[in-house]
Amino acid sequence: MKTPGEQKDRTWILAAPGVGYLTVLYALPLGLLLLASFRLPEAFSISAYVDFFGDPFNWYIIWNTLRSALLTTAFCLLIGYPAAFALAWSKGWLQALFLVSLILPLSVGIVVKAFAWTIVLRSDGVLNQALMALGFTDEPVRLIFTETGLIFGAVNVFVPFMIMPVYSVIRLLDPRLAEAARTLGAGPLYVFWKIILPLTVPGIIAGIAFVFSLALAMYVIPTLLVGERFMTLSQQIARSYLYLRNETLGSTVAVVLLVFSLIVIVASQWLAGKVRANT
Amino acid sequence: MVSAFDDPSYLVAASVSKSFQGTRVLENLDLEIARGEFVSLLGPSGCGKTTLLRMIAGLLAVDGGTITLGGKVISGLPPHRRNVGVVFQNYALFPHLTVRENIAFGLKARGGSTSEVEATVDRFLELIKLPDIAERYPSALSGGQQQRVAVARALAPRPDILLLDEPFSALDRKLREAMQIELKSLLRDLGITSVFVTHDQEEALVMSDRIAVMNAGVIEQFGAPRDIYRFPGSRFVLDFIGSSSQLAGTVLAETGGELTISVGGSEVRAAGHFVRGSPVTVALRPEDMSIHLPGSAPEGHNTVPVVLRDRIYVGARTQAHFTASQGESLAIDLSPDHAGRLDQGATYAAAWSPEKTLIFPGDRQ
Repeated sequence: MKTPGEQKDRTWILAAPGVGYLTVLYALPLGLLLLASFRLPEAFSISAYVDFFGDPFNWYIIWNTLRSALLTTAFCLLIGYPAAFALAWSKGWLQALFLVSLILPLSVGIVVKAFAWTIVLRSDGVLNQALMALGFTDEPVRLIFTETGLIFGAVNVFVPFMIMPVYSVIRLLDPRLAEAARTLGAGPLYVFWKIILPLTVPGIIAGIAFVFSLALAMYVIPTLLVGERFMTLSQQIARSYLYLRNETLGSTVAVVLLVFSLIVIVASQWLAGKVRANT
Repeated sequence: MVSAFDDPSYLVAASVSKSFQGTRVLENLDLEIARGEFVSLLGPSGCGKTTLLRMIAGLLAVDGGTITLGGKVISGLPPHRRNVGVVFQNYALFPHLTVRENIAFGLKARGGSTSEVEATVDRFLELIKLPDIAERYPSALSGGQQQRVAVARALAPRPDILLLDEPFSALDRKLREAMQIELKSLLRDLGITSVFVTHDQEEALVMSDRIAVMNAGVIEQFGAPRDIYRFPGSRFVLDFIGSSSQLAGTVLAETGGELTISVGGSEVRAAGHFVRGSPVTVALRPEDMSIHLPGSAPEGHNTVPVVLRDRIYVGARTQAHFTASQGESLAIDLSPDHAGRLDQGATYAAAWSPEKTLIFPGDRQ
């Protein structure tokens, strides 16, 4: 007798269009890029990597990239985690308002946003005028063309990618779990630490993975808000291809960036799997 | 039965009211429950029984009135300061904690020492007869096991009262019946006061010391299962608990609480107080009536002529359905042998003793 499990699994058909598209337009060029960094097809050599890691300037770029991505992720978590609860627990028109204010900015291009921020951030901008009017500072604070300005802008762009995964986990959270904990004698803080936080960890992991990998690879925001003054791996890639005409360098940096992203994804998958195994 | 409990006013709800978006859900409700008693809140969905339970637990605020537990007003306290135990309909076990950690949760939240917590958890694992699954996660448990863990988790911190919100509704019939008996004896052994919400009348009859039958935000009747069944206080209670056949009648005379009622041409006697000429409903339980050949009914019984319509075999008994003179349907429990000797379409005498007659105000036709 045939059980459903013995039937031929044809699920792959559903994946075929996506896989085909990604193979031609993503995997293939990426593979060629990878090969270019090893100086193939002429000769195999890892000298490009030796050169890259031998240059302290590149370490400075890596550190810039990691630090700004980490700070962006941290602030997104700080702002996005409570916001996700507000979104999930609000009702009616308030929730609709929250959702719109979350989704709508995504449809405004980053370039438009970046120029809008410069209005706010520049030395005679709104923020500086407010700070001076309130007496926090006598002279304008330098915000634009600094890392502070960069983080300010990046958090703005990426915070929805933190809110959304956390929000979807909260929505699946049975409200009776918190109620059960309350009736068992747990105060609100205890309920948060022992029930709500552990059960929303999968959303936090997904949000961190999203924001961190996006922030690692961001190019437009640092270019527009800081410029050459603050180099990141993405800017270095663009510079290698566009100005230096050095394909080997460009693909080498691209591979380094790719490895960082892979580490983030693999680590988050592993963490998520560990969390899931416990439930 | 109630006198067996030392504190008859252990849990008191005094004129408790609750509205949701302008709709009154509970209307000046009063309820007193004795210490150690098992009380069911029974009623159809939307009658306010779960609302009342959640207000006792502190998960809902009262709009008006007070709730007192053991002499202390608790209606203003947050749930974690009330010392109540709640078993939720879906059990609400913490999915990221093991059975042991689930049961220990309340004890730890109250700051119990580790050794004390472990000893209590072990005792409760024994009590629910599940010592081997302590390290499993809830998702690996069967429905019956989950329910036992939920009960153990609620009881472990020694609550002053246990509140149960339809805890059997997710179990299949066989398991449900076994769990009812098991839970009842466990709670009796522990001597804990329990309030149990259900819409299942059989469940309420099996489990309860007393039942509060609720309808549209008020308690229609509060009493022992036997009294609720035997002497339903209103048409609603009559319809909601057990089955009954109802005949329309008119009061012919009342002398000293004894009524003579005309039911479709037959004269029927019953106890009650009604003005002459009042329309009444005569209600009868299927097990209270017997069937006889016309003219051979026992002396002193009420009789009405009925025609046999059909018979439904339900195992130990057969329910015979008759049509009375005004077209009302009459269901009577008979032994299968007896029912087998009756002829479909033939006329018989349905008889019952006057003290088994239930009388309610009827609709004027």
